[in-house]
Amino acid sequence: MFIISNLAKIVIVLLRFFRLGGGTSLPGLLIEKYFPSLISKSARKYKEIVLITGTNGKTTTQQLLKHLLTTKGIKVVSNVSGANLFRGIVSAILMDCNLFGKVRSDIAVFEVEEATIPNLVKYLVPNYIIVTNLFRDQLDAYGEVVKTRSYIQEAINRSREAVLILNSDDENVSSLSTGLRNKTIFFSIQDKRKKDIFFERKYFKFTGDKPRDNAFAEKIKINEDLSSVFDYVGLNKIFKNIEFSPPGIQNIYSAIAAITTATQLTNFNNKELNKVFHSFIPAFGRGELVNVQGRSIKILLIKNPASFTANLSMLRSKSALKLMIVINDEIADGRDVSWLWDSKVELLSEADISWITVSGKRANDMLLRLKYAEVALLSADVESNIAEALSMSLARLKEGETLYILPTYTAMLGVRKAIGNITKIREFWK
Amino acid sequence: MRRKLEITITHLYPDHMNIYGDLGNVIALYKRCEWRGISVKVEKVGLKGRLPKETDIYFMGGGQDEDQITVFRDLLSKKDDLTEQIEKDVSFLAICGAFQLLGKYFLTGEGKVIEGIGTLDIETRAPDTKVKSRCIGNVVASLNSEIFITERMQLDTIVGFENHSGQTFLGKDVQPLAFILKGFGNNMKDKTEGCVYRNVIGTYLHGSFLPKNPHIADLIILNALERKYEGKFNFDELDDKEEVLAHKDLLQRFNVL
Repeated sequence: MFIISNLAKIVIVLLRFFRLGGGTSLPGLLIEKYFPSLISKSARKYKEIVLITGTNGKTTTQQLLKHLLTTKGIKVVSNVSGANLFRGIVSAILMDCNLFGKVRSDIAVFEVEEATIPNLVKYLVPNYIIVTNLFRDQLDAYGEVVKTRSYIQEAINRSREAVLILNSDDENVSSLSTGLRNKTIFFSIQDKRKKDIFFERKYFKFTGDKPRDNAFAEKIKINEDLSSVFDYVGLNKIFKNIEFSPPGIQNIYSAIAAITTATQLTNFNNKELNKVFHSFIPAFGRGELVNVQGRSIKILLIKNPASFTANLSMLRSKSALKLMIVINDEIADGRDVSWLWDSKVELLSEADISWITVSGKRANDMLLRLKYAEVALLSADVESNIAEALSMSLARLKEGETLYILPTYTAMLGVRKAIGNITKIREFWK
Repeated sequence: MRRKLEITITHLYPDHMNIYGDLGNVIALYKRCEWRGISVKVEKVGLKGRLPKETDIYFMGGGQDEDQITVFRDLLSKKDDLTEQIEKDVSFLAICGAFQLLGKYFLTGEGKVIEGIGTLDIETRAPDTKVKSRCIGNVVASLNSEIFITERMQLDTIVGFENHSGQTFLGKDVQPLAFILKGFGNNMKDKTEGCVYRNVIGTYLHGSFLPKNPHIADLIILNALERKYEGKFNFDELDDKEEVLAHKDLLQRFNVL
């Protein structure tokens, strides 16, 4: 371990130095391939290991949980956005090891891609498994919902000691605990707006064989800037007036999952928690507000019908909406753009739209989707080049106005680069 | 005065056979009727539902493996009705899994034979369980000029995305819908894509097939109108600028222009 760990670290340092991929996954790739069991030895030293999986909301849940624990002085290791395969997680652990192969952090909080988790739990023994939701995702990359769920079920079956933290508004998720003895906590939101969330058809029914604990959000208010205020009602704990900056109802699930887990690991009072939430900055592309030349840009990642629909449902009430939709079809976006037709773009047909810029490699597919959703095309500009489309949009945007950008994953990286060329923005792996 | 035209679309198993953007096809048929002033309605028939005595267009999409087996059992109970209507030239668009289920049989990877409803003279074999290959990716194919008067169509290609492991082979009673220029189509061997039988079109191009292939959408609508109102129709051309742009993007990407 000593030599391997150091070799890997040298690789990471070199990669970082030369800015190759942010040094996020390559060392892990070497370990994954040749010495996977070495990682269990280091990982065993963590006091707690939390794994977060599910289709949407993994990154926000992870970042918030990390933020909550860090403010309590707990040292947390986590993987960086997007590096959620085996190698990315191994890389994160390696980075956390000192020269003697000992881990520096107390708690590990990792977001894990769904198909990776059954293999991962062979090497890391999780104390907590959070499952956010099971939506239809990029079919060409991930396959069917039932298949995805079977991976998670397999991982859970292998993790007898793990506390399960499951979304009970999604029965395909809550049913993962059926017949198991694991301690389980369900989380949900009590708000009728959740009907706009694109839950998949119920393939599995939850058959409760014993009572489960519940945590939920209630009294939800969505602010003008789309951030939210809500109360958390958990196990013997109530937190009032939590202000949460990631936009919309859909993100509140991440907040509830993170609070539920954090309060299992440490204690908060209401005032503390409010303060911690107040200082939380969303991950890039998850509703972060960027200021460019006195104009505001809000970037909302869309990766499947659920996130696209949730964002449109949230934006349709805005007056004089300025929108840029960027659709790419690289592997990380899904090569197949059929999902645009599963998304309820019709929600925009009655929105008050000033203009829309459509961009990306599949700009014309998006334009066509807008046409069939009867969204006024006269207000749509098409420019497949992302940097060009951004300049066009910024030129139309007046001072004090907000531009909402909905990009797919690689399109988001393109948008980030384009913004970076105009202003300074932090690197995404930091 | 022009009479008011009416079209009924029957969407079969919308809950179970709707794996990935299949709804786009119903949206395309619906809007293209509506934009021409044709009165259009969509009826859904699910598990244990009854087929309508009379409809103009059937649509059925692809499903998850488990759902496909459930639907298949149900579809068998509707076999006689459906076959009769198809023989009387009702229009039917069958995508991916639906295309397979209308065939004679499906041979699973484990060697099990699932008998199909047999309306289409096609056979589908799953690759051996050891074979991990799937036909997956963008598809461009040129329409079969023996059955389509392609000179009179605004496009003579079809474009889309395929994602299937089943290998389908056409019998002599059906004709290929198109011939592959890029991608796989029915199978990895013979370069055919989809099939046509009477007014049935089967294809592996899933999701947003009709929006990007407006000439096929119009063909389906036209066939349905001519059958219903017994006569030739020349209906209004629509402005298909956006449809053609999205279609040609793929032709350009694969140098098929």
